[in-house]
Amino acid sequence: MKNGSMESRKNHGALKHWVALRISAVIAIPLCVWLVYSIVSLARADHQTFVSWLSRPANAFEMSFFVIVIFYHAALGCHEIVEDYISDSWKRVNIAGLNLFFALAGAFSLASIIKIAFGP
Amino acid sequence: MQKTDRPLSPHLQVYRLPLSALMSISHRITGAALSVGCLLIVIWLAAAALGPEPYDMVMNFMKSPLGLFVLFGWSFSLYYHLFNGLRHLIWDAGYLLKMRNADIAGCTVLALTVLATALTWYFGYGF
Repeated sequence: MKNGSMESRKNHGALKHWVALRISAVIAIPLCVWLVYSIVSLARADHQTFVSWLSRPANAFEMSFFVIVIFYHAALGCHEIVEDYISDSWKRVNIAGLNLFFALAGAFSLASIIKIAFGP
Repeated sequence: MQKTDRPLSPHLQVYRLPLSALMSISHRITGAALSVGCLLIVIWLAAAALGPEPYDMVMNFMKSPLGLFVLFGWSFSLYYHLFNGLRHLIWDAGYLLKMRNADIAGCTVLALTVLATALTWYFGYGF
């Protein structure tokens, strides 16, 4: 049976969503392991130590990459949670709000990383 | 869809959930908790970018017992979500779908989570 004949064709990009979630998850695996260990190691660092750590190009790049991939994965994951529990008119508001939150969070994080790594 | 006042038969109050079900909802809960953790990461990075004083304010919280507890919970949630996510990917590929194998994999996930968290804190923080 041809997909979406007389019924609604709206799957809202469900397949793309599913694939994107898995791909971002696989990419995130090494990034997360690296990040958890780094953060726990830095739990007692003072400002100077932290700034010099993040200023190293490898760390700055990996942190930026982590932020982008993980925030995207988190947005998709929260999208699924909202879809499962909210079905009325508030659903689109919630999803739009989530996307905005993660986009802003990602932008702020990247700006902070750039400032720390390249700033005075 | 209109909400009605009709009663529901009891479900969560009476049903004993199997391991896979508990791990599944934990996967979602840890995912949500990690999303909140994203906010903490932003705050931490922004504080560091703003200078030593805001950074020290944030770190005072992180070094306090409550902050360490939050950090520990975050690392535990991250490892759990990571290993259980691998289990989901294995399922997506079509393996370990039998109930017994899925449960063995689930116990492996739990063991790996505890081990990874312990190793990270032992070598990273230096307990």
